[in-house]
Amino acid sequence: MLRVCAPDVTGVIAHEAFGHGVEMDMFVKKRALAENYIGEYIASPLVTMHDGAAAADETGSYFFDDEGVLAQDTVIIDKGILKRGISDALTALRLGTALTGNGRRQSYERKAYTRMTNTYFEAGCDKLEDMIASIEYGFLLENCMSGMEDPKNWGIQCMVNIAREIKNGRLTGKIYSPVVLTGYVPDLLKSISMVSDEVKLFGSGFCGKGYKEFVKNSNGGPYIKARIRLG
Amino acid sequence: MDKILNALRKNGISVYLINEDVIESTELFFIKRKLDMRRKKNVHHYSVTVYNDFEKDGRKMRGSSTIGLYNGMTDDEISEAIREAYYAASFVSNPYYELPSGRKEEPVVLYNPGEFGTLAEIAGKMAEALFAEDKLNDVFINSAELFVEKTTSHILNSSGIDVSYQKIEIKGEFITQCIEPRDVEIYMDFCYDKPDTEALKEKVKRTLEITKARALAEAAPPTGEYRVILSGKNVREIFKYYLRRSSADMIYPKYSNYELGMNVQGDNVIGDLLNIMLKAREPYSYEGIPMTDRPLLENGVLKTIHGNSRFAYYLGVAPTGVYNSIYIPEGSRTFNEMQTGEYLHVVSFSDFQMDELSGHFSGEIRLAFYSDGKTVIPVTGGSINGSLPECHKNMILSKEMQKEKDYEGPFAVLLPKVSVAGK
Repeated sequence: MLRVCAPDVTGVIAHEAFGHGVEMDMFVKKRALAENYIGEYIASPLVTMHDGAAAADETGSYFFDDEGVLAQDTVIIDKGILKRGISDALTALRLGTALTGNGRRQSYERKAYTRMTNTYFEAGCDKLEDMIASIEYGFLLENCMSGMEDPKNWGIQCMVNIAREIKNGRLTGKIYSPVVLTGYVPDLLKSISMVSDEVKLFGSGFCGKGYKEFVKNSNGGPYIKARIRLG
Repeated sequence: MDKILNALRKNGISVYLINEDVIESTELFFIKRKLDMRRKKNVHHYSVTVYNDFEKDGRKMRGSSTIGLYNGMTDDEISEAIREAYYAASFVSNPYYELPSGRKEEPVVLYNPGEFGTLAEIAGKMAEALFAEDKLNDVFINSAELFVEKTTSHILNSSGIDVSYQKIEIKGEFITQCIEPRDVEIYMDFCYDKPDTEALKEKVKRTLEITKARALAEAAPPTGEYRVILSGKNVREIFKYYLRRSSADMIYPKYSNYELGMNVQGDNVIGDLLNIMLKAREPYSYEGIPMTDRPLLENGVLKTIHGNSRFAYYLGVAPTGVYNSIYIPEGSRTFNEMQTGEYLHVVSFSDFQMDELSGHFSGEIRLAFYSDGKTVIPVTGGSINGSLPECHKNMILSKEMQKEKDYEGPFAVLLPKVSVAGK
């Protein structure tokens, strides 16, 4: 079923469903499906995704990471093609890849891991009203509560507080809450058919590696229209 | 500590709380069975809360502000930080409340190196236990992290409280992987107050079995309404609802409507009536309140509102300290008796969440066992979405018990009429 995702939901998709999947310390442990898809189409050509402390001016920004590597703007997906992941210094050394400035620790007391910074999809050219008008039956998803990563299977799980019903191109006023977004990430990304022309980033949350190692970061993007399973 | 007390006196601050924690740890990081990295730490934290009493619109107020201080700060730096915190507290218009009072007590020692060994020795024993069941070729531990942490806490306030205790915690996580016929993994964490090698071995063994089952799971369960069985750590998440709803910091702002004597499961309960004990994991709360085990629910009736001094004062109840650990006695049915007819037993979620405001729970299924009443098959994918207030009159608890972090109680819980989004 077709959904329109608000920027905060788009951001959690970028972060949870995709960003965690390209943290390359997971490549070292053979825990990420994305490792096998570098250079391949894994999303619609409308999709370009960034991560970097230098990619935006937000809560995930810094001049250098916790290992002293300068901040960068890494293009992870370029017009649908998976280009590269992100890494800490030890991971880059093991994989023989370029440093990306993503080595971060929760505090001086904790180990550094590969962590995201500011993660977002680039804007497109569409208008929100046109995206809603194009849907016969679907939902506008807003107010994301949480998400969880699944780099091994590239699964998506996000909890969303508001799903506004769309019928015949209009909002009906009916709201479902809460709802769970699930599915396979490449299917979702390849189904993106419209991307709005404005990007918003949100930096109020924390990101964990599993259930610990919390760091500040931001995520966001434009409104996107995609096929997603809801429960 | 003396520098902090001097700075408080110098700034004329007479109401305060100081929390001093010394944390030592030994940490091991594994990729497969190989030790990839080891770390040790020995850190010293000070947290100082200053209280500023003032009047606003004719009402007595008590504002507070908490700061972190570090070894290596000079006397002037400490004094300035405290002074700024006191000024910040003057903007916090909380109605007045009393702080707990007490006296100097003997330290409580919960960790005895003579009995358990040094932190490094404990780490070695637990690492051995972690890999003891990792003996198969087709399913194995992909990676693991182990933390053995000793904390010495000292709590001191301006009302005479001067208490301390020492404890250890062994915690960590591991990922199990099975490659054939599908490459899948399961995440599991653990946390113990003592080096419980047998509990860890058992947890690893069960997780390896679950991972193998996940590799065989092909499809999501059919969409519909189910009798859902939850087991393992997800049961703890369900009962956290009652723990949070009975907390003073939820009741005072009216996020929770719980009252003492209230029948929280409602009338005409057909399933198991809940009996929950609050368990004290530490001898003192962060405010220095002595903590003891207390009844939370007796046959579904609320017996205790728990919380810190501020919200307890506002509600007119005695401050108990904030509880996170619970004990629930065995339920009425065996786990086998629960597994009759059509049901969905969800063993593993990507993430299972319980909303403490609404009582809604949900999660994406990584592995479940679906029974149509005749055959049982492993399934994966899809999600569940339910409401505990709508379920808990008919909820059934298992007779079999388990121990998880902050939870000792039934291994499984059966919830009727839970929505499942699948194929």
